[in-house]
Amino acid sequence: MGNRRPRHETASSPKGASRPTWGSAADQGVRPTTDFLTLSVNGAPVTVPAGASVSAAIALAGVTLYRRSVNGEPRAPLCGMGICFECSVTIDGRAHCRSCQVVCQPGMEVRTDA
Amino acid sequence: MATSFDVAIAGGGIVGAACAEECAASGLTVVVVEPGPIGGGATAAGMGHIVVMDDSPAQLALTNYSRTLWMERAREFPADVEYGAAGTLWVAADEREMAEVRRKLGVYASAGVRAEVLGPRELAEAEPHLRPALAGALRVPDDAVIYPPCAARYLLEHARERGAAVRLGESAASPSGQGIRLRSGEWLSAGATVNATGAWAPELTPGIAVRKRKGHLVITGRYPGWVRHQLVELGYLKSAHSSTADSVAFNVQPRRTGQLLIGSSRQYGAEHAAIDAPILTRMLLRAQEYMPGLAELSAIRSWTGFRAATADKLPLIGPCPADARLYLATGHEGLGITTSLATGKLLADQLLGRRPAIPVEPYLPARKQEEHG
Amino acid sequence: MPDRDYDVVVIGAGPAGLAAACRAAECGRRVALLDDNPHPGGQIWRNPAGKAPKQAARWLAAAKQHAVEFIPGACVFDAPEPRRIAVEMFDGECRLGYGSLILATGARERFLPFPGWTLPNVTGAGGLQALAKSGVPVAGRRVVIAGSGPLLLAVACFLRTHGADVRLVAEQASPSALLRFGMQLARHPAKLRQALEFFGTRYLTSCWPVSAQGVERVESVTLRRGARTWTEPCDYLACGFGLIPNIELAQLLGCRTAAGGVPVDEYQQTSVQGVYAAGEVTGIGGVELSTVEGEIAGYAAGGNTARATALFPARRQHRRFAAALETAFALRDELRGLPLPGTLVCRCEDVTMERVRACANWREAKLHTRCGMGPCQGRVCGGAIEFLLGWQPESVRPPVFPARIGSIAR
Repeated sequence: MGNRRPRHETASSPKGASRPTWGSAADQGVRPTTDFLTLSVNGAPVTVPAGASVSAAIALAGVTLYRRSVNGEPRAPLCGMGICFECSVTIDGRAHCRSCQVVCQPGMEVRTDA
Repeated sequence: MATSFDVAIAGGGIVGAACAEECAASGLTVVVVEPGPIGGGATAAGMGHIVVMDDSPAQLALTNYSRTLWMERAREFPADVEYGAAGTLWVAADEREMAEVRRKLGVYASAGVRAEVLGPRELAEAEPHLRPALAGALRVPDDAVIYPPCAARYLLEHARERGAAVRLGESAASPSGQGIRLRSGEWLSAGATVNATGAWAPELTPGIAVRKRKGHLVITGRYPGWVRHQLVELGYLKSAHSSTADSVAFNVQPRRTGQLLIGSSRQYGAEHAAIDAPILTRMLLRAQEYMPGLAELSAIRSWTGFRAATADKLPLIGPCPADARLYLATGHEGLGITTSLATGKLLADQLLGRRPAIPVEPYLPARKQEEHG
Repeated sequence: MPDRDYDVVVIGAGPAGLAAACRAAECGRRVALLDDNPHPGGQIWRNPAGKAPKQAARWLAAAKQHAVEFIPGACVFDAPEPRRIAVEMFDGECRLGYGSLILATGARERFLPFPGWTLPNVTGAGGLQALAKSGVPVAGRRVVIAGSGPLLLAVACFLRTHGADVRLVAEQASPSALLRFGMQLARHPAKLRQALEFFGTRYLTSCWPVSAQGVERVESVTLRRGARTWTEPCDYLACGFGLIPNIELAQLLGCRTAAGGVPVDEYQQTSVQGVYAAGEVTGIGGVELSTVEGEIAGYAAGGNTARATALFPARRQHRRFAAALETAFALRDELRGLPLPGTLVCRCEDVTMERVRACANWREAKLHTRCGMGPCQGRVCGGAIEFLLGWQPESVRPPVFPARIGSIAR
């Protein structure tokens, strides 16, 4: 998985920092911002405010189906806090990522079930 | 409610269920006593691998006979039994193990078991997530995978349809040749009694030479197609064969759900069911040696179970030396799922004086057990 | 991330965890504060630098000032050795050693199944608030909020101020039950209710959803109130029936636990020496109680029992709110009739209500239907089944959250 970016560092935290710090967008969530970034959802580019979750990026892309259940039913986030796994999608090739717990990074590739 | 039966069976795991089904189908009146849930012991904890194994001629005969019984009934099972002929790959890491693969091929061929040798490139094509530079494998295409708790339930329902009674939620306090006394005090009298309680058999019938052999398993999230066959390292046989040291061996099973079941571990003398972190780590590291990509897969649950192990690695199927009407159907170690159907047949054969399809002597409780290494 | 040792590790960066971390650090201890979410604040204080209460910003500033090390995106999945936890992040894992551990793992919503509840855009009540705070657009969307608890009103107000068209709030509790609750407090939902009515949102008591309809996503919800049923069109149905403490990690650590929360002594210590618990995980009680419990745990773990003891009166006072909460918002019996036989109760494995009801107990249901055997590890279906059938969840085994095999065995 070659040049994977560490996800808990955000755009404004020092790269290569040896320990996570407070001084970053990490503690400020999604505030009114002029910082945007672009990632792809099912191959299409989506622009989102910095700090948005991957769940939000999928919603902003107009996608309502995050995963298909065992019997093929469409599913989307339920709990919003990382316990239900209904928001699971593939991020940069890794399956079963809880999209509500992952902050968008530039160039991320997100795939939902079809 | 009837309280007198031809056969009373203590234990509603897959072995007890298979015995009940065969006895009921043969016209005997049967009662099964099971505290619940059906298949809640090693049946639930194990891997559901239907496999021919050749640790000894008697093991080969029993697993081969039983696997044939499973194959003949493959189309009969409902969907939740999840019967699938995934086949087994016995994986050889080096040339020494490849020699063992070729020896096995000969043994299987002489027993009429379909098998073929895969070279390194064929192995990589068959299972792309195995690490490079393995020497090859023996492919046994008719080995299968099932979901055991639902198989046990199916066999028991089948037994019920043929008149068997199932006392679910009841515990057998003391089975004897005359019948079973329930913990509630009720007495079920029987012409013959069967102790099919697996690792708990010695608690019900003191003196049975069966020991608990703990195992660990891990199940992943869904990754359909990541593994196609049941993959077992040749060292698995050594691990199962040993009667002393704690051991792990690479053993991975694809479930119909797309989940991977990862084993295996063996420990004697561990009485508690809690996860043993060092053994679990050893087991998972061993698995990653064969399939490095496992590191990235999500594990959603781990658990343990207790196999019923005997000194000579063969089960106990037949009457107790001390009480001719008390039968044992236990001690199946890691082959309970595979050999459950044959156990039912061999047990019913002995109860009814029928000629068994294979010689029954190697499995009789009265046999002299050679302690294997 | 490399393995490290701390004096105090706090798990959960909501109000209790933030307070605990600050007070422990104030005592001079080296403190790590973990949360599996990307940002601190837990559920109630999400995005505190935005529009959250001043308290939240205050605690965050104090935490920074006392050099609390915040580790976001950190999911604790095991406690493999004494005084050691195993943590997985998006891109790695580590083992952290601790002298004292403070569990501030909070609570999750209780979901009850009803026909249509698995449709996309049927979410929890707190769930929709969390999703909206993380950037899911709600402006201009029609939202129906249902279920039970003061959380519903807080969510309604939040969504309203973010431009959602909140059609109504359906609270299953009766007006008399709520009145008893309202009487007990100085600051209580009446104010929020007034704010809602100012925006034109109906707040209906003795009201609950009976089914949701839609094809690709929810399009309407049918509600019942007394003899009347009617259907409301909606874009989101945000539905939660109270809160369940996240006790799984406490169970894994061997703490004595109860369904209502982890029992603790007066210094917030659990039955395991050196393991403390504070906040909703000890029992649902609201933000003020959580905060003071966190402070007591932090001072106790930090070695300052005098300061901890000084907070006992405040804790006693806030506990009265907790008691009132439980009685006012108890779930009514009619909700047990919501799922039809074909309604899914386990979303991970698509198991219907009738298949689960045919089983005698949890163990049988797990083995024979695989209900509760999926990645949520029974966190969603467990709360429903506890209410519907009275079955208690079984003991936990590691990993208490799904974790990569490479994180478990390294």
